[in-house]
Amino acid sequence: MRARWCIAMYSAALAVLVLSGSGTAAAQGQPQWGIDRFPVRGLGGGEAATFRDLLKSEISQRNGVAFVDLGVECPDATCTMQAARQARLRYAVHASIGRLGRKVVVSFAAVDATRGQVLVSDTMSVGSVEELDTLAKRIASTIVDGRPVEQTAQLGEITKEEAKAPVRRDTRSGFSLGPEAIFPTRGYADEQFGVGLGVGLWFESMDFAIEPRLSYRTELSSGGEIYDHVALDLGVYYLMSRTDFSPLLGGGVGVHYLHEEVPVEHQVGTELRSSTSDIIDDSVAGVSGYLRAGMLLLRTYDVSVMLSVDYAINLADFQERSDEQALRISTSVIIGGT
Amino acid sequence: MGRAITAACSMLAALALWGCDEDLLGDEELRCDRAYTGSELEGRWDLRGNGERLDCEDRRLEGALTIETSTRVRVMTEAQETSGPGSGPEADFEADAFVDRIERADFLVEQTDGAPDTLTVQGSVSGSCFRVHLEEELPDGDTISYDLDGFITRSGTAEGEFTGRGPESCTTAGTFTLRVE
Repeated sequence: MRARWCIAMYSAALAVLVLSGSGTAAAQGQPQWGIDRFPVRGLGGGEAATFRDLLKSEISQRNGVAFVDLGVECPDATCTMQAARQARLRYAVHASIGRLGRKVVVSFAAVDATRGQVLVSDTMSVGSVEELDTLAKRIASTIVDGRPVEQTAQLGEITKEEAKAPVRRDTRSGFSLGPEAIFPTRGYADEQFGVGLGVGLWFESMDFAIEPRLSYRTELSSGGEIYDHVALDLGVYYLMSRTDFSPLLGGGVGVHYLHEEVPVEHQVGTELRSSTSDIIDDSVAGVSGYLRAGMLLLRTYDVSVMLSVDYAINLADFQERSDEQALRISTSVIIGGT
Repeated sequence: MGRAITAACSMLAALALWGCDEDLLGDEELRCDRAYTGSELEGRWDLRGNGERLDCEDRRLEGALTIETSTRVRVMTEAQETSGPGSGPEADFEADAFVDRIERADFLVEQTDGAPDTLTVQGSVSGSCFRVHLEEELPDGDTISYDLDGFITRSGTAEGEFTGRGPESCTTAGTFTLRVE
């Protein structure tokens, strides 16, 4: 919509105008506005004239003004201002109406000829000529109330064009599934190597992908060290290429539950030899996050493969530390092309 | 007459204790006026304890605790003048009182000459109960110590409870048995 700022700036002026009235007919108790003859393209003259009459009627019903025909077909608002000055009218309405394909497009403006200012200017379109009566109501409300067109919508005055759902860019959606290897750098039951399996949803636009993912990870330890890690993350990745080999960068945050068992033994003393043994048992929940670098292969196909390396940190109240960290290497198959 | 009765009772008590197994002894009330005195603690100590170590800065030092002493822990005792009244009925005759004082003689306990420099043993025995402080300096400068609070239950054998500190901020507590060779 063009020149919305004009609407806000001069809505007060319009309100004063509506309440007080103006023009040469003031002596008769009814203010007068000018209206030019609308330029028409691709539409029948009768339909355009009907629309002009409807618009005059709707405006008059709202603010009680009478319209004076300026007698000229103005291509723009400046022309209308000049015509209004010559007719000794302060306010005037200008419009043009034309067809664009199947749509009927109406541009309109309300002008203050005395100050040489455009008070309201906007454009609306409808899908058929039959909707011009609805359009006349909306334009009249916009001119009289001084509000932007989109704020004047009310039941009975909404055009089919407005009721259409907005068109959005296509997004690929599907599922992701794949294993991962965990190389702990801190924690994880004394940094035990582990494996995991993740399943997620995959939403991919041209340049970004979003992946909510549920993962389970466990150790592959021959000793007594144990960990079981369940994480629910939301990842966002920037896809650096639209080809079949697309590097990606991103990260994610989520929540996690981690259970660890770490057997510990300690001996101290030479003459008074003492030894302790225990199992450090941690069951914690907290927030987690990770950074990811990877490659999305076969991106243009319905089935793609993602290879990635993550560095992850899990925050929680562990007995020995406040966080645990790991390097993860994962592979995911992404299935779904629509 | 009283002396003979006392001696007979002591012998009976000693024989009874000798025949007791550990469980029966555990149910018996331990008292400081047993027949065994501090001299029973002299010799090479074989101390074994079980308990728990807690409150450590390093979580990995905590847990179920076992203690044992090396073969180099040797202790000597030194009789001291008995002080304070003895328990049980007061003897009517000086001869009986003399025997009482021997039976509940007080002893000091300390490590023998030539014991490791890193080890400290200090304690006292009153009758058959004793308190001994054991402390070892560790190579890193930290110390580990135990305070034994026990009873000599039979010849060359004692048992009781211990508390301790170290390494770091750890505290320990548990029970021990001591065999003296």
